[in-house]
This record gives sequence, C-alpha cells and structure tokens, in this order.
Amino acid sequence: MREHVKIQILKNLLNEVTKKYDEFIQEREKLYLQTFERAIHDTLTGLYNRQYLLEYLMRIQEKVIRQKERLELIFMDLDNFKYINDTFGHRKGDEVLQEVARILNEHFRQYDMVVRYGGDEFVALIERVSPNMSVETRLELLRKNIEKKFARYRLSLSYGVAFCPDDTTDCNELINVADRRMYEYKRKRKTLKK
Amino acid sequence: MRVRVQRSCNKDLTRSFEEIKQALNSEEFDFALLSIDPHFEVDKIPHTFQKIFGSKRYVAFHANSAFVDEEVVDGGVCGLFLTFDNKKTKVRIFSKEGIDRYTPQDVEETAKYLQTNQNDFHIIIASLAKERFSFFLEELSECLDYYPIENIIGGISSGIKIGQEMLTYQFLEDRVIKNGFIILSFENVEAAIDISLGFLPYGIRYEITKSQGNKLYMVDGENNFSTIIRRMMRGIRDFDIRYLWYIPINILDEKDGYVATMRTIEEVNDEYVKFYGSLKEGQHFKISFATAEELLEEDRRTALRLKRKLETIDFAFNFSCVARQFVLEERQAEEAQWYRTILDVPLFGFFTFGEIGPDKMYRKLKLYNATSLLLGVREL
Repeated sequence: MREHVKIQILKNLLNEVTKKYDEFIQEREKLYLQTFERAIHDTLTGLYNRQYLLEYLMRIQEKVIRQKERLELIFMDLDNFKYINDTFGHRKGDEVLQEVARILNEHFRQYDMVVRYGGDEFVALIERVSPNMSVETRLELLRKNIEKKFARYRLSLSYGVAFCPDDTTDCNELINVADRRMYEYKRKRKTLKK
Repeated sequence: MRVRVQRSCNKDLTRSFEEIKQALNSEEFDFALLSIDPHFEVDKIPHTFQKIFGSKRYVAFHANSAFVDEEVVDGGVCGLFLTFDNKKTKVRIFSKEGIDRYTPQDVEETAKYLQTNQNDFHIIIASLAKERFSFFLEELSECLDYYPIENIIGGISSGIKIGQEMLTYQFLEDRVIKNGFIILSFENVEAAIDISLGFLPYGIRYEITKSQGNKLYMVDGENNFSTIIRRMMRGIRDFDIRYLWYIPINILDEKDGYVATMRTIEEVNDEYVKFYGSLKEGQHFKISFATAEELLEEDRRTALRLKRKLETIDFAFNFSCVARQFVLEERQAEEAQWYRTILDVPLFGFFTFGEIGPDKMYRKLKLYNATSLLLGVREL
C-alpha cells in the first residue's frame, strides 16, 4: 500500500548507514596515519626515528643497487652536548635538540631524510646524490651555523659521510662506515685544536 | 466464566448500547468492559450506560479502534461482558485522577494498592494525562518491591485531539477520568501474558547524549537527532509523520527489557524528536524496521506461546499499538485473526497509545510502543 514510502525510507536509512560507514573508515584511516606518524617520528624533535631509518634502508637497499643510484649517509654528533645537560638541565638540553633539529631540516632538502639516531646523534640520508657535489663544504657550513647559534654553550657538530655503493652496498655497514668517519673527524679536530 | 463480546457501529451512543444489549439478549453480567469511540459525547457515557444496562458494574475507555474477535471496529462501541461461575471471582476497581499533576503520594498509594493485592491480576487502562503517565509509570515501577511482577498489564487509551485536549478518557460508575487511570483487579483468576514485537534493529548504533523526558535532542556527542530523522524523510512527497512509525527506535541498553523497548516518533521539529515514551541519556539505540509479514509472524508465535502457558483460557485481551496497526496497513485484521484462530476464545482488545507490561526479568513495569501485548485469562 505504501511501498514507495517504505522503499524510500529504507533507502534513506541505507544512505545514513553508508555515510556513517564512510566517516568511520575516514576516521580510522586518519587514526592509522596519526599512529603511523607517531611510530616513525621522534617525539621530541619531530625528526624520523632510528627504527624507521633502519627499516627504510632495508627496503631501498636492493633498489639502489639495481637502479645504480647513489646514497649518501651523513652521521652527525653534537660535541659538548653533555655539558648542556649537566650544567643547564635536561629541559635546556631538550630545547637545544629541538633547535638543532630545526636547523638540520632547514639545511637539508625537504625530500632528504633527517633522523634523530640516538641521544645527540643525527643521520641525514640523501638519495640520488650527484657525485660532483661537495658534501664537506655543505657540512662545514652546517657546523659553523650550529657553533654560531649555540656559542654560549660551546656546542659543535662532528660528522662522517659514507656512500653507497662506493663504500659499501650493505646499508647497515653504511651507518658503521659513516660513524667511524665521524670519530676520525672528531679526533682530527681535537688534534688541530691542540 | 461466561464471556461475550459484542460491538456496535451506530453513531448514536444510546442506540449503540441498545444494539449491544439486544445482542446479549438482555442477559445479566457481572462485569462489562467497553471501548468507546472518542467522538461520542463524553459526559453522556456513564449515564447512558447505566440507563440502558441498569448496572454500574462496568469500566469504559476511549479507543479510536477496537476489536471483538476478528473484527476491527472503527468509530463504534465494543464490549466484553463477563459472567462469573464462581462466587469468589470478583473485579475490583482502583482509580486515580489528576495524574497530569501527580504527586509522590499518588505513586505511593497506587504502589500500596498493587502490593496489597499481589494475588489479583491487574489490568491498567490509562489516559495520556498530558504525557505525564509514562513518568508516573516509571516511578510506580520503582516503588513495587515484589517479585515477579507478572500480574500487571495494560494500555493507554487512544483518542483524538479536540482543541488543546487529547481525549483518552476512562469511565466508571458516574465518573469520567480525564487525566488518570483505572486498575481492574481480577480476583480468583489465572492469567498469562506475552509480548509480540517483530521489529528488528538495523544500521547505526546511536548513543543518547541529550534528552529530556520524551524529547531526544542529541546523539553521539553533538549530533542533532532531528537532522538525522529529517534525512529519513527525504524524497517522500506529502510526508505524514506516521510514515516514521515504520522505523521506531529500538533501545538496546535495556538489559532487563522484555524483548526490547521500542519508541515510536510523535513529532519532529528543528531542535528535537519527540517520542511516545521517555528516553534516558546514555541509552543506546538503533533504528528498526519490520514488514507486515514479520509482525504477523511474531504475533502468531506469541499466541502459540501464550496458549502453552495456560491450561485453558476463558478470554483473551489484546493491547495493540496504533503505530503497529499503521505498519500492518491493510492487514490489520490479520493480527486479531491469528490470535483468535490459535487461542480459539473470545477476543477483545483495542489500539493503544502505549502498552504497559513487565520487563524480561519481571522486576519492573515498562511502557512499550509498537508492541502487541496479549493476555489470556481463566477463572479458577
């Protein structure tokens, strides 16, 4: 008798359910994205975290070799950071780390990966880097910026650079090579100062 | 018990009663229960009944439609006439007026009456009492402290609105009860009840976040429920509010609900949706739906269950919601037909503005919408 009315009401009810379902899916996707972002970023600095770097390197290793691309991994460490924590407290230390993160983000390109690797250690991963680019010049500029910004705390930056495939095709080894070179750099600077 | 059901569709009240009396062969009765169309002049009803039947042993009430056996009667008078075989069998009447302004004392007195007469079977017939009856019933239920509460059933009279007043009255002796209720207490009977629902919940689970009395404002935080319901009305020309009776809401949190608690929509405006019964914040619900076929199938099962509960039945009484009858459309008469066919006893009933029955655990009385309550009674 009122079939058209019932059908329309049921259609409207179905629309309502569909709309709610879509909203639910969107909310869930948004939540998933937020959770994912939180999982791959360092909470203090907002940079990528160590876990994400290691997983990323695992994923792109084969691609880099196959497509004959070049990767540059820069390992960076803050000199005298412990002094800031010990003298001015951890809150000040956190503020410094956040500011260093901001400087690093400005210094590197938007599509380079900048990572907080540990306490006061950072890594920058540059993909498809040109072999002719002078990395040392860039990094020296970065070091000077940090020294100038944090002159009060006598903060400085040490770094080491490794290249794939030049130094190694193993991505974990890439970090080790860069890390070792960073320590060599530190030693050289100490010797020069003396 | 000798039971007779009669009806008249005469538009004149006196002639209606005369026709019924004639159909009864002027036989005497111990008690009469009548449904009366609200178009009849109210003040004449008590006097006319007494004049024609020569008795004050009756209760009458408004109903837009009623039925005797399988026949649905619109705009007339229907009667249930009882003659008891056993001298112990009696019908006592308790009534209250002014429930639109009820006080705690009204609640206490009614509860005390029911508590004191736990061995009787009670039928409550109430008026809307300016929409206050459902709140009165909730408070009354809280005061009842006997268990199980399986001896109370009832319904709210259906009626018409004249001016500002909704005519859902009851009548007894020389009185008209406009905003109250009557309790018929049957002594020396055995009775059983069952409830037919049929509507099933579908779709989204909503939580009531803001409600007041019968009015629902917000669900799931800040979502205006009126906006949601108006979306249900889209695309329907010449919209009638009764179309929303196809989709009553099914309240889910009622752990002690007998089947489920339904609420049908009375009114929709910009701020709220008003129902024929109270709602509470924190309750969860879904919109429900049923076809006429599904409702009738549930009616059939209900009648079968009731038949198993009582060894014999002298008569059956049905309280069926007007909203349910609307959903049944042209198959309205089939509900009564199923009851009559399965129970095979005289059937009397009416279309209600709300049904009164026990919850699942028999601990409370509840107001139901969209349901069909079935009562079987036998004299001991």
